[in-house]
Amino acid sequence: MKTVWRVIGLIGLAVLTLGAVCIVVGLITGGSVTRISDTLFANYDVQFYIDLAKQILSTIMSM
Amino acid sequence: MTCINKQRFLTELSKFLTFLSDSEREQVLQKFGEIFDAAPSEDELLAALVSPLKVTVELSRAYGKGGIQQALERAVEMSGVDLSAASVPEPVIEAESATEETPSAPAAEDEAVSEAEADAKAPVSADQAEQPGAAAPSQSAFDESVFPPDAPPSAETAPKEDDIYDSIGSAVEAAFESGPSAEPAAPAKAPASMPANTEINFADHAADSPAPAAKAPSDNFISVPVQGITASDTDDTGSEDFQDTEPEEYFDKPEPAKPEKSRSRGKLRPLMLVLFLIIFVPLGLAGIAVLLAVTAVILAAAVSAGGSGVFAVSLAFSGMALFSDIIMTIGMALVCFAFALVLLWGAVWFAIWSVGGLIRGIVRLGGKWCYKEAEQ
Repeated sequence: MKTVWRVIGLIGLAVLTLGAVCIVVGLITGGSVTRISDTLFANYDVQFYIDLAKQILSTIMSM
Repeated sequence: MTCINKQRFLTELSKFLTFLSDSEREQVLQKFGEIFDAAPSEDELLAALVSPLKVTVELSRAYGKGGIQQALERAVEMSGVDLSAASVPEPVIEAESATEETPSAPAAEDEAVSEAEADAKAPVSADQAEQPGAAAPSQSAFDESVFPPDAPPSAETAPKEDDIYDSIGSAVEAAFESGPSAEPAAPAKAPASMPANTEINFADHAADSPAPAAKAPSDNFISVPVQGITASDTDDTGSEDFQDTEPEEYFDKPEPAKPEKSRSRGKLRPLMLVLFLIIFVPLGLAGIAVLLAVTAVILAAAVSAGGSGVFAVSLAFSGMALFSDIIMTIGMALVCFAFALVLLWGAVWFAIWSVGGLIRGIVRLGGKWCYKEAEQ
């Protein structure tokens, strides 16, 4: 188990580091989070899923 | 109680070191030569080493662990002699000096023979036996026999010695495998399997050399209590069958069989069994359900993270136009994948650890509750 945890941790840390490096490089080269979110909302109906999640949460809270 | 000296010890040791190559055997014998030279008392050293067979087994184990260096270190360790502290002069024996000392060799031989005859019933002390005139020629003869000169051995003798080494090696291995119950006849098998005209005798081998003093190994004889070696082994030529019965504690004794745990737990208590089934089985099932629910939540989080990563990758290659936005989206996807991997394994680990532990605990508790322990 310890060995598996060590291997999984190493792989996860490596992938996480690589992702962080990619984000930093994107930000340095002129990337914009706002532009990405606009692209996301334009291509996918994300607002529908957000509203659905809010409705389920409010139902659970009211119970 | 038997008489053994440095030459006899090294001769027997060289017979047993069949698992080493020639150069390694030479190194080991040289190391023991240094140890004997550095030892303050030869009889104490021989008593510490116990017997050549024991030294052989120890060296074989050390050699198996760490090679020749480990074997050499083990040799020094067994002897208890501090080679670094003792300034050991190298025994330089030149061929010329050996030939010059040759005339004194017959005298030394006669002296040794008479000494052996006179002391056939009583052991000879080390002080009495140390004869400076006799020691040097026999030592040179031994060195020539154990460490042959650069000249290649004759074609007749070399294969015979190899056969001898092989036969003795197999006999020693058979003795090791048979353990403490082995009959002392095991070492004797090796000489019996040899040709009738073949003798394991380094002194005889050395007798072919110009120095006729090779047959005077009885110098410096000391009385060392060696268990299992009979007094008949005190032949000057050293060609006798070496019967060495090792002390039993030397062999690896088989571990005493542990008493098996009784499978009978004791008397079954039906009332407690029913009570346990009523109480703990539902509780256990509920606990397992809760733990599985927690596992499912962790698993759902892992799947969500993985799905988000896949979604981010698809977004990066479908709707993005700028390289900076693409690489940022890929970075986010990688972060999601990293979390997904850790959460996935965390869910599996939690399920195994928690559910398995709960079941084991319930079963152990049931054993304590439902069975009355019987005194055995």
